Amino acid sequence: MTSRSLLGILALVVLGLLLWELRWVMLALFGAVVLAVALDVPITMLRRRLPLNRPLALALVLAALVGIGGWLGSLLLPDLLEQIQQFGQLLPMVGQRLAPLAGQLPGLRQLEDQLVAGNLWDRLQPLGSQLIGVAGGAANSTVQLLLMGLLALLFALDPRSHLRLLIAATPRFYRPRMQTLLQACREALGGWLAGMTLSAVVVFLTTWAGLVLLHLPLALLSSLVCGLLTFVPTVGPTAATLLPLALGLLVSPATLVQVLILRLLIQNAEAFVLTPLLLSRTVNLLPTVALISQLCLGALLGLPGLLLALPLVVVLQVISEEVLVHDVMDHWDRPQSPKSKTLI
Amino acid sequence: MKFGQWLGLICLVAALLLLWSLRETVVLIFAAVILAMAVCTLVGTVQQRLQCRRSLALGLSLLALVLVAVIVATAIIPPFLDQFAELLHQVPQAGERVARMVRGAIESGSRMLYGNRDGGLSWLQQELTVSPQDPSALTSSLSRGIPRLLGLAGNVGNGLLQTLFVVAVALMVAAQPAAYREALLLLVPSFYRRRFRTVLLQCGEALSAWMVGVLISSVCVGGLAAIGLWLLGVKLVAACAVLAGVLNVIPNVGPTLSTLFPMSVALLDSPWKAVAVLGLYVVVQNLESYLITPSVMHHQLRLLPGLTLCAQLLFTVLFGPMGLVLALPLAVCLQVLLKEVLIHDVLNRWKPARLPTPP
Repeated sequence: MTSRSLLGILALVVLGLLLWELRWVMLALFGAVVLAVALDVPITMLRRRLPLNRPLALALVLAALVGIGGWLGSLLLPDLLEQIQQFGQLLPMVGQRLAPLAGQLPGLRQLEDQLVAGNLWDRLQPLGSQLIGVAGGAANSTVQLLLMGLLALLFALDPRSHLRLLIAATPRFYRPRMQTLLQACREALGGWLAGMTLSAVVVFLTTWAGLVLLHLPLALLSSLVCGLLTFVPTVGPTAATLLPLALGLLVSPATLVQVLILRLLIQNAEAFVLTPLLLSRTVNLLPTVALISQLCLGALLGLPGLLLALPLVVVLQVISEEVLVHDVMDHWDRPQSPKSKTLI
Repeated sequence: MKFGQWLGLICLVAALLLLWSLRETVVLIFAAVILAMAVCTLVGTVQQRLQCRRSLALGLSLLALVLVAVIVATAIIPPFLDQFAELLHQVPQAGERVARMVRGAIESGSRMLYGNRDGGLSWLQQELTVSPQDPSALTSSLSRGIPRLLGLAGNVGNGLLQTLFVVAVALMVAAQPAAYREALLLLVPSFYRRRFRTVLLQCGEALSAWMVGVLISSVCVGGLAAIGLWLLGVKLVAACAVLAGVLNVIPNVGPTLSTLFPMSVALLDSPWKAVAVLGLYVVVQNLESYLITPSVMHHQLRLLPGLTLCAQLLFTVLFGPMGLVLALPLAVCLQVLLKEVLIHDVLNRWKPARLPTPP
C-alpha cells in the first residue's frame, strides 16, 4: 500500500464522517434536488414543445404554478377560510363528544383528579420550555424550507453545470458511466414524481367527491390533506384519514363508518391498483421495500427522513442496481489464481 | 491490497455500522421473514395436497389462518385472560405463603435447638417478614405521573405499530417470496449466486422444518401439562396449559417460567401439590426434550443444548427481549449459513498459501 492510497482512504473516511455529521444538511440538499427535478419535468416538456431557453421556461412554469395556485386559492380560499373557522369551532365539540367516552376509562379520571389536585404549575413548566423549543424548531424548519426552495430554483435554472461539477468529481475512467447513472436517477425520480402527482390528484378529486356526497363539513380541507399525504405512502394516507374521521364523528357515528369505508376503498385502490399501474414503466419497487425503508429512515433521521424516504429509496435503488449489482457484483468472478486469496 | 479493495472494506464497515444502529428494525424484519416462512410452509402444504395454483393456495391458507385467529380470539382468549389475571393475583399470595412456611420451619428448628424458649433465630424470622403488597399499589404507582402514563400509552402504540409492520411485511413477502430471493441474490458476487441460492433454499427448508417440529412439540407439551394438571386437580388448567405450550418455543427460560404459575396456584391448595406439579413439569420437560423433539425434529436441526443457551444469551444481549424470543429460529438459520458458507466453502478449501516463487 502506497502512501498515496493511504492518504486517499483517510480522506474518504474523514469525508464520510463529516457527511454523517451533516446528515440534516444532506437531507435538505436532497429535498432541494427532489424539488428541482419536480420543476425540471414540466420545464423539459415545455422546451420540447416550444423554442424557449431555460430561464424563460422556468419563469413560465413558476408563473403557471403561481397562477394555478392563485386561481385555486381565489376559488377556494373564502370557502376554506370559512371552513377553517368552522373547524376552530368544531374542535372543542370533538373534545366534548370524546369526553364522555374518555370519562369511562378509570385511568383518565385519576389523571384528571391528579391534575386538579395541585402542583399543576410545576408539571406545566417543562411543557412551557418544550413549547418554546417547538416554536424555535418551527422557525428553524421554515428557514430550512425557504433555503431548500431557493436551492431548488438554482438547481432548476442551470442543472447542466451542477451535473458537470458532479461528474468532474469522479475518476476519469468512471465519468461516462457516472453520466448515464445520473441520467437514470433523474429519469427514475422524475417518473416517480409524475406518477405520484397524478395519483395524488386522483385521490384528491375522488375523496372530495365522496366527502361532498356524504355531506361532510370541511370536505375540501380534508381531501386536500389526503391528496398531499399520498406522497408518503403507507403512513401518510392512514394519518390523513384521521381528519375526515374526526369530522365524521361530529355528524354521526354512521357517517364515521361511511367515511372510513370510503377512505379505505380509495386508499387501497390507490396503493394496489393506480400507483403500480402508473409507476410500472419507470420505477419498480418491491412493496416491502417502501415500508422497510420508511421505518429505517424514520428511525435514523426522524420525520424528515420519513417524508423523504420514498424518493431517497428510488434514487438509492437506481444507484445500487447500476453500481453495486451491475458494476461490482456482476463482474466479480471466482478468484482463480492462489495469489488473490482475499475473500472480501 | 489495492485502493478499490480498501474502498470495498470501508463500505462494508460503514454498512455494518448502519445495520448495528438499526438493529431493532433488523430484528423486526427477521421476525417478519420467519412469519412469512411459516405462511409459505402452509401454502406449500396446501398446494401439494390440492394440486392448485399458488395464488389459490395462498388465499385458502390466509383464509384458514384468519378463521383460526377469529376462533382463538373469541373462544380462547377471554377466558384465558380472566384466568391469567387471577393467576397474576395469586402469585404474590403464594409468595407470602412460602415465606410463612419458611418462618414456621425456622421456628420449629429453633425450638429444636434452643428448647421451648423463643428467641435464638428470631432475627432471621424478622428478616423474612414480607411486607403485604396489595394489588392497588401497582395501579396507583402506574398512574403516578402523566409522563409515565404517556410513556405507557406510547409503548402500547409502538408495540401495536411494530406488530402491524411485522404482519404487513410478512404478508407481502409471503405473496411473492421468489422475487425477494432473486433481489437478494443480485447483491451477491456473480460467481457465488448459484451456490447462494441453494444455501438460501436450505435455510428456508430448515426454518420450516423447525417450525413444524416446534408446533408439534408445543401442542404435545400443552396437552400433557393439561392432562397432568387436571389429574392433580389444580385450578386454572387452561391458562397454565396454554402458557406451557406457548413458552415451550423458548427453550431453557420458557419452561422454567411456565412452571412458576401452576406451582403458585397449587401452593395455595397445599404444599405437596406444588411439589407434585414441579415433578409433573420436570417429567413433561424431559419427555419433550428426550422423546418428542428427537422424534419430530429432523436430526440436522437439533442444536446442542450448550449452543442453544449460548445463542439465547448472545441474541438477548444484542437485540433485547425480542432477540430472546427469536433466538432459536435465528440460530437455526445461522447454523445453516455457517455450515454451508463458512465451513464448506471457505474453511474446507483453504490450502496453505504457497511461498511466492522468485522471478
